[in-house]
Amino acid sequence: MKKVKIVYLPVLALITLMAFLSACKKFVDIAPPLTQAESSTVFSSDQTATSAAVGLYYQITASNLTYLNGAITVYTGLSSDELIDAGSNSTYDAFENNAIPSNLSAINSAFWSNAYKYIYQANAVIEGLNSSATLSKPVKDQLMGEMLFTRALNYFYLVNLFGDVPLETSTDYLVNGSMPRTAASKVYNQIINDLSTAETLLTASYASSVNTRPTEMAAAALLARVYLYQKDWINAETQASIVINSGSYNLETNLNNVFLATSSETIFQLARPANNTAEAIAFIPSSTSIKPTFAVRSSLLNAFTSGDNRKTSWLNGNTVNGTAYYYPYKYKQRVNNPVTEYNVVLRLAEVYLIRAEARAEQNNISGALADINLIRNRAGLANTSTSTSAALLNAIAVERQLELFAEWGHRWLDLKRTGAIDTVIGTAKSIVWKPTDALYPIPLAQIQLNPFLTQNSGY
Amino acid sequence: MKKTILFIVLATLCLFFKAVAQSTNIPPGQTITGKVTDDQGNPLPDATVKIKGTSEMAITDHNGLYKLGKISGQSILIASFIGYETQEVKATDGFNEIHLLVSHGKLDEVLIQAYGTTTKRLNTGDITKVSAADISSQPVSNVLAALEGRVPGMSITQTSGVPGSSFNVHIRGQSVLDNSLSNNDPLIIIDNVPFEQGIAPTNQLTSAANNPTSISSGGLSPLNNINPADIESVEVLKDADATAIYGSRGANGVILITTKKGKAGATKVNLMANSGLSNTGRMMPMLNTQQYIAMRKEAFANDGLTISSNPSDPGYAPDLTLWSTTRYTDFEKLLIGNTAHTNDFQGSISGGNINTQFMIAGGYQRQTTVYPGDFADGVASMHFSINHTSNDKRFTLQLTGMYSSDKNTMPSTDLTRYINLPPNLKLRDSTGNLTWQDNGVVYNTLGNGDIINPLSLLQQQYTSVNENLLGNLQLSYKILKNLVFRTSVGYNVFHSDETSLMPSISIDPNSGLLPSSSFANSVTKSWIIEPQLEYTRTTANDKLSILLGNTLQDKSGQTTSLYGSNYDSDLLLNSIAAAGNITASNDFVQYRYTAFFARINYNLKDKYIFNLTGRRDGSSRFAPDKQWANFGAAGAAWIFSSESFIKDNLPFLSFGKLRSSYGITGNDQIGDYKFLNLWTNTANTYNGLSGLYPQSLYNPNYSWEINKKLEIALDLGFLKDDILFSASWYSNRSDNQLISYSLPSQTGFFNVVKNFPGLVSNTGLELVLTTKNIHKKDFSWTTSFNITIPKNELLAFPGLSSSSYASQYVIGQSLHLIYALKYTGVDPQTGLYTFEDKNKDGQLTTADYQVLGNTDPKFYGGLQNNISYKQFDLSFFFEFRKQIGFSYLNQLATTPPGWIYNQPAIVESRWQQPGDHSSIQQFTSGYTNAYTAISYLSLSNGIYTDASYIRLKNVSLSYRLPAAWISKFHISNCRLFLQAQNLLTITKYVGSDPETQNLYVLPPLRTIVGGLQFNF
Repeated sequence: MKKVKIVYLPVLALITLMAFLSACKKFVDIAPPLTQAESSTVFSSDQTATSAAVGLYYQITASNLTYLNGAITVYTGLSSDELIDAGSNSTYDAFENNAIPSNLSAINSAFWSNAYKYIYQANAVIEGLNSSATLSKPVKDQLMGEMLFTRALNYFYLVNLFGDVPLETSTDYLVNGSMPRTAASKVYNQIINDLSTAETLLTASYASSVNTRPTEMAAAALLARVYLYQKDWINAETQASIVINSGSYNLETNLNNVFLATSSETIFQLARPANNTAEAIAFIPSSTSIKPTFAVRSSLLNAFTSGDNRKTSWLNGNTVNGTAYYYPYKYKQRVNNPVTEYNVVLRLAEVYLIRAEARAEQNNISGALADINLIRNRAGLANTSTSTSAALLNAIAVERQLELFAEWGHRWLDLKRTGAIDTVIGTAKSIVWKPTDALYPIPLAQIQLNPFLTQNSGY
Repeated sequence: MKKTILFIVLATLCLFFKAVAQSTNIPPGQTITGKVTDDQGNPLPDATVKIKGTSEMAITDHNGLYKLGKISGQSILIASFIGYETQEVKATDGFNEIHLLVSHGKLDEVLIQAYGTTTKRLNTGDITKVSAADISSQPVSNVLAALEGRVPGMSITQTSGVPGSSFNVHIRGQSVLDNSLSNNDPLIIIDNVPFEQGIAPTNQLTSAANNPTSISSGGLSPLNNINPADIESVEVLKDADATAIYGSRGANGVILITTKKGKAGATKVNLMANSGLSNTGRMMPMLNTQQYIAMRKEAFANDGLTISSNPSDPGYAPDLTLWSTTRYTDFEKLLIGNTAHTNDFQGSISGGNINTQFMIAGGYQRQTTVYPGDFADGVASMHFSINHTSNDKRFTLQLTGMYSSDKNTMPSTDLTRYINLPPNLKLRDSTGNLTWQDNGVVYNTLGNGDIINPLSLLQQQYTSVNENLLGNLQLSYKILKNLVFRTSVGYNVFHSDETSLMPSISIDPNSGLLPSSSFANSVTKSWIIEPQLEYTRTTANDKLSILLGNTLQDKSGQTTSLYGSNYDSDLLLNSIAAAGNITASNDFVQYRYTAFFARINYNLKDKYIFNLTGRRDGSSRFAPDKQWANFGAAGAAWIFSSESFIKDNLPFLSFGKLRSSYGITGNDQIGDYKFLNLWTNTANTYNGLSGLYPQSLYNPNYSWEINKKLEIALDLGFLKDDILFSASWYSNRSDNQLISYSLPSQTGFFNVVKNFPGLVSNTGLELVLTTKNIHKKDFSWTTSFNITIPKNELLAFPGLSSSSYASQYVIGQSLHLIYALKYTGVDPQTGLYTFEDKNKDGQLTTADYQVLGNTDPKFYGGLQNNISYKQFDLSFFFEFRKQIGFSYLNQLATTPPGWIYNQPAIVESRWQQPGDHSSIQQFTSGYTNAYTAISYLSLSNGIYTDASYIRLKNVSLSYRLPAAWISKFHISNCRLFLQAQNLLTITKYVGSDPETQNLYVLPPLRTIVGGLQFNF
């Protein structure tokens, strides 16, 4: 009797415990997290899909001096002949002296890593939109257009600053992690495709009047610029005309209003919830008695002719120890309250200059003059007196330098695409300029993590 | 006369024989009764009584009584009980009461193991015990500090000297490189309750405890909430046999912490108070203003530049031309030269009787910092335990609970970061206010933008309040003589509240920032239920025990953080509502875990022992079809010193055991919900619309990692166990580890949760030698020495050359290898650092990288000496480690000597002209060849140096007042003591401290305290 009990009980216990356990299988199935959304639910409704797209704009403007939020303006301004580092910050000096070490953290974080973070989100939204069956067509097209535009904008600057860059159109890290650099021509093709598709998907305007999300015109404006860079003069003119003829935008007559959030000239701008622009914080010194961090080069100051209102409206100066230091003053609001200025990405003045150049290249002198004079007149200058194509192109280049200074890297990119960079930088700066300095180095840390990446020559 | 003598002799002989006959006058086959008790007369139930040489045995009942049959005249009874010395007595025909004494031998002292107890003698696994005596002699606030160097195979390093800062703990090697990405922490169990916070830092906001050059390292340690004075013992479980029963949680070892319990007997009161001072340990002296100015001038001269006060000039040097060149602030002394005060008060009451025992204890410990200013870390704690056994000894109950609150205030950045500020930096203006500019030169435009007024950091206060509540109830009932049902229910809540303020007086007006505050809050709650069934069957020759159990655990965590910015004034900085702009975020996680486990232990004649353990785990951290896995281990031990051929031939060998174990354990410490593709809210809206962004890369395909552990060990005892020696060789292999796998940022992120395709091996040899050198009445001296010789190797990694780890790891080398350019010294002609261009292509690239050693410790361990002479006790402990580590040059890559930063005084020996031989290159002031050279230096092995050290970690001297003096006051024991921690470091290390290896992190502090202790 006792013997049976001794054997019997452990067996019974085992059975009880196993029964207990099988009921517990469900115990480790937990509910999805409360504070995050799973991808399939995000793209199942219009509202949340819009949040996923709009979240990208927030990410872009979240921190100062990052990729599309001031870094391009400031760092290319130093690299070209626009700005000097008035202090002796080592990062700024590196850009100013065109001697950027490949392990400079700004290259890795502010440029490269941020760019691909935004590209990833754009790709993720595109994939989510494509795989969803429950979104309404207008919203789906709208968001798809916005993301294609944003992706194109990211790749535009990547390819212009670094040259060949990995072209990623999916979120698969297994493919992206070992992708080598794609030829710049292929990247440009992708940009043009993306912008053209975006142009067809997007509509002309928004309910809100502050243009903080890309529209059909934004796609056209950027596409005009891309065609200009690719020397496709006909298409550049066509796209520029689409924007200009839409009648949605007008040049502001008062230069001080051009960069306000309410400006009628702005085609696309990025808003921040509680801060003014990163450029204002970077450029405007905190008091009138100290040197600004970035001072405008004398070569740029001297390029303004007398009577040019841009010199007085878009530049300001502090006098310290008897020396005057000028700094860019396009954005005028430094403190956080009230928010009156957004980060202007595309504006009408540039579109006019694109069309002027495209027309001049096609020998349409009168058409080019009409456009360039609009810009000149707005700045308080008389019409230009040039009449030949070559002289006109020169005048347009100068006009671009003065209209688009310290703004989204226009000077740096213009010098590169026109081939003038070697001579101009060589004379403007007292440094040893090598032609390979026209491209920024691929971050060393990324080359170490991706053995398929190669470095630009000269670094 | 002769007859009388003969008669007396015969009578005496008769009496003698009668006496002898009486004692042997047990008829063969007789049954005797008896009782087994301890030395106080308390009965010991479940003790074993055997007849020597036969297979007869009996187990005592709950009153300690037993009955044995088949006794014969010559029978010798052997009585034994775990934790007591075995006794042999001759059987008599009366009542055989046998008294057992508590064993003081190390081999028989009780060792806590998973779900039970064992002894060192009979253990088949590898468990090291550190007892309360070794912990209480150290003036530390964190139990991990008390364990450094004492447990072979366990490497503990302090991350910073800031009070409350965290520790890195690795048991038997680290399987992955970057601690901030993956979790290699051991499981911590306190009184049967898993301490879910573990070793991971508690803080969400940045504090001075975080590494200022890499804020994801360091942080506050949750174990600061566990009062070392409450700990009875810490058992560290290392091999598969000891840890496999914890299944997926045991891969990195297990630390069992057991708190003190009450004991039966008179009510005892224990009071302790100590007080002392701490100051910064080893630091590198920096240059004074004169030397600094000379360095700067030489730097510009080397670069061929004229010093100028014009910022557009390449020779722009505001510190030489626009600032005072005589002002001198010793920033090292100003920022970290303060003396910190420490106080500790502890008290406890304990007592009880045979059935019920209790203990209540409480304490308060406070230490201030070495920073100027009013910062302190204070921990208030209480602990209680109640044990109850029913009269029939069938039912036992154990309830333990602890609560503690740790309030820690400190600056939000470690001030050590700013010892490299120019020594002639102006800190206050003429009105006495803090200034951030001097003569029109704004500090934050200089250098790398990190020149600040360090006094402003003292106003940026960080406060953390951590509360821990832990309780455990263990009930057991003896259903049958052999069968016990036990259940353990535990609950743990850890709550952390942080505030970090940035008032306007601490803000550089040139930065444009407005006052801001951050608030963070987190709560982690977990409960665990473990019902178990244990069956034991003991016969004369063998003992079989089978344990079956089930675990159910639930953990939920909530974090909230608020960031308020754009405050108008400092007045209401503590109120989030007063902020101009508020961003907030919160998070909620849940983790569920369940398992079924079993252990079978078979002990044959106390000579051959076999142990089999197994566990089946399910965890919510994996995708639905990958949640379950099985783990297990087998261990065996042969106590060959009990074999007759050993006993006869090697009499000096009192103990000899050969043991081995092999098993599989797992790891699920990868964070929750990682298998889902999640989007999370942006911190703020975009133009009124809420925004989402992707949280991480999507990988649902990861699965359990597998760790295989093998151990072979030999334990020997000589001269009646006065000398104990133990050697263990272990080999652990990790396959498919779950890590945050590094990715290039072009993927959109920096890492993804993935199984590491590499096969990593950790092998090593652990040796422990304990000797009782002298053991006399008034003088005794014991020594204990332990050393671990570890080796780490990456055995295989398919696809290494095309992965993101291609320039980091090499197959066949350690994971912590130095794979870099080879540094070939400073060129005497050019004065620049030079490196080997291995492939002679004229460039220095990753193709020139060579394997140049590794940063694993070659060996480490400790040496403890305890000497007692009459009323005096002296103990001292040396910790030693041989390793290569980062030198101070690692911090100089972005601030080369000659730039606008102060340097360690050692740079005075730099190269100055062709022909000089030096280990420090020429000064430079900007982006020159010298800058390029020093950038390459950080990619070479030139930043590594010998970081070996011997540290006198602890010295404790105490004097026990003679009983005669104190007994009048009813005090049973009064002890005066002096204790010191980190008193002395012997090292050749070129840098601040060889343990923290970072010039900008506060090194471990040196502490001396004095105090007294009373027992009533």
